[in-house]
Amino acid sequence: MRDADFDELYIQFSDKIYKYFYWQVKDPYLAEDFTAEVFTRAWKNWKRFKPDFSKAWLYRIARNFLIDYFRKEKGKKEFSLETSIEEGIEPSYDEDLIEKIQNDSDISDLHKAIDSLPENLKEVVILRFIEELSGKEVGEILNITEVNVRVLQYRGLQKLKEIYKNEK
Amino acid sequence: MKNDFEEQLIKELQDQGAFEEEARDLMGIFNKVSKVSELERSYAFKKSFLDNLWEKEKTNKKMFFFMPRVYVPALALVLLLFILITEVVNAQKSLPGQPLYPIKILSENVIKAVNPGFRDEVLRRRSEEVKSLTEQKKDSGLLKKTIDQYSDELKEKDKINPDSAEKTKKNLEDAKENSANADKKEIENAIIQTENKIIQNRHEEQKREDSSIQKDVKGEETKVTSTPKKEIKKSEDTHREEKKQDESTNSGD
Repeated sequence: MRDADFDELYIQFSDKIYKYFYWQVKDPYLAEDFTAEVFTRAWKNWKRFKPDFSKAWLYRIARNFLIDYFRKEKGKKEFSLETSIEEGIEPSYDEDLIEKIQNDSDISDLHKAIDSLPENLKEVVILRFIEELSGKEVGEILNITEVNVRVLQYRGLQKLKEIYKNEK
Repeated sequence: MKNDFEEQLIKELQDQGAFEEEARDLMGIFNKVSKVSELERSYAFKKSFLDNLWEKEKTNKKMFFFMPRVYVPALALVLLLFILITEVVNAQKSLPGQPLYPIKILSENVIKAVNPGFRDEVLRRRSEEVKSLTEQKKDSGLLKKTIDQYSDELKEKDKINPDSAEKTKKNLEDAKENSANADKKEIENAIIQTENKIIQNRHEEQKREDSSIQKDVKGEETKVTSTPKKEIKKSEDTHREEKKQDESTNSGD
């Protein structure tokens, strides 16, 4: 049966998850595939998590998925979108958005800037300034304290400022 | 909402030691990142994903309901096989006159057809049944029938395994001890038949051994006679050559 709450969840958060993936993998098609996989997984566990749903839960699914992807990519192992395939979800993409992404020089500049950041700062910058999550939520997702998030976000912004300044 | 976020961020940066001017400066970087990174897929696209998801969910659920139709016959077959195997296993312990006994005989016939060596085991089983029947003081008709089955089985066998035959004989002897006087004769006959079979087997074994020894001896003899012939021929040749040499020496003289 169609679940209106899940529909609402997807409409509200799928762009955020898409952005999270896009700024990590830099591939709009892959980001869409991963988003579909995360929401299919979320749906499979929806009954269990619906009563106490939190944004952090959704991001944790996305982050774990991404860690798995990077690990397999590093080990040159085959990676598959298990749940989407199992559920028979066919891949589809918003071509207009992808065209915009591919032709926007500001986006490619931001990519370069984010790529220049050390890994620990990169993740905090994406979650805090792109996803606009609170320090507490970021801490929950990354398993670090809120104070730690504040330190890293400060350093992240300083570093980005430096990168943009050097580019000019 | 956005302003709240910004206000909070400025406060946090200042808490980390940033002066107001630096904090404002860093906020400019944040605004740039926030603006550029904004990516939004169309509502129609998102809706089509959800429609696809629900459609597949419906289909998968339907498939789930159809599953039992496929699995029920398979499950029934597995269950039937399980019951059958359990019955066959249990039947192996049954005695003549019990409901599972015909299954025991049937399964033995099947195994005998595949593995003729199983006949020794069948003989032993019949003798054990005779023993059990006498222990349980079952009626003579049943006992006689089992002894007959034993005799038939024994007649069909050309060669009996000595160890198995001894065990079989021992069972029958025990049965004779336990049996009523009326049945003793029948059991005695079965014991005699078994002993005869053992003796007959021993004779045949002896014969086989004798004939193989004879063959070996013959083979040795042939070897022994053929070797001197060669040697004789050789010595004859040597003798002839010596004679020639002597003659030539004499004529030279």
